[in-house]
Amino acid sequence: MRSSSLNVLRPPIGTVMAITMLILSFGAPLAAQFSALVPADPNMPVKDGFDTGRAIFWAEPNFTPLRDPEWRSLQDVRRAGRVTDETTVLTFDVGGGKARAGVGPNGLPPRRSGRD
Amino acid sequence: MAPSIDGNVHRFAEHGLYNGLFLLRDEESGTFWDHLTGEAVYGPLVGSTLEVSNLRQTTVAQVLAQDPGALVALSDRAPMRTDETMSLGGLLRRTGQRLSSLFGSTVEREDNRMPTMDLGMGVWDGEEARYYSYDRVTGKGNVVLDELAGRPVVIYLDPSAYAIAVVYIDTDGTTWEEKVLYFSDGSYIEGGVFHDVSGERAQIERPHQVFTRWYGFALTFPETEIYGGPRRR
Repeated sequence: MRSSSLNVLRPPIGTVMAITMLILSFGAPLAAQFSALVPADPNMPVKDGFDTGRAIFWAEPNFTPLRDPEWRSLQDVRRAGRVTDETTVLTFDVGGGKARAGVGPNGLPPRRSGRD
Repeated sequence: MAPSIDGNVHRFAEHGLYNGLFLLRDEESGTFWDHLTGEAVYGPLVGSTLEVSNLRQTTVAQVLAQDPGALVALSDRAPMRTDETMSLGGLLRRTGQRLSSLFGSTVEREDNRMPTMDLGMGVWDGEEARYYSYDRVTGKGNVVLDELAGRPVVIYLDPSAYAIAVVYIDTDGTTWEEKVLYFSDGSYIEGGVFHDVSGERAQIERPHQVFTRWYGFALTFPETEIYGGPRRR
């Protein structure tokens, strides 16, 4: 995620996006208990073509966002054995070729060699 | 999406569902956003569009090859899906499934040119979008030369990351040597890192891309073409 408008020294929000994006793209948990629904507000602006009649709005998020995570050196985390070279991550650039990576529980597990 | 609106960082969370895809909502304005296009779709900020850029799925080794000083955030959240379910193999094994009733209820009409849960890389540049099915890329020897929005692109399945990636590069041909993808001018991609003809690491431009299910990409970009597939009727 190249985020030129985001302060490089303050990237946590970008990471929240990084960790949730895979689930957003690939679907929901298998047995999720979804939050309570909220009806569409007829007075709220709507983008042309967006049909609020078939949209679902939840009162609360179903996935707890990871807010303000602690950023650590990926090298150090690897040396400590918390990740391996094969661990899958979601990564985005913050400019100048610098990378930020997210390792979360959903879709970002260490890859199991020989299984895929 | 870059979570910055008029210079202010907003906090986003998944708060809804539309076309079988989650909607993000920012706490500050209460607006709902399409997470692929960055467009505000419902709420006070309709008319606004957030900057979008690529979020690549790769490995620790590739990130460190690109930037040894990379930082990482580790999540301590309990898993909602198993490692196996979210692995590439797990995702590929579910390509024959259908949308659940909840997700399907938010879809008016699916684009049936491909199976609903087909897995592939969706790529877009301006008004042009194209979908590259995982199976079709692997069927072409893990690399495809194509053109998008008038620019040459290479779509490849990086064996060291097990994920499809797309780059803008003008080349007459490609060759795999082990896990290294060579271009006709001698430049190459190794471990996800582009090296120019002198072997030096160099930046390479990538179009917008998302590794995703067919249904979500097709519903977000209804005019999308399909690489190697039937034209829209």
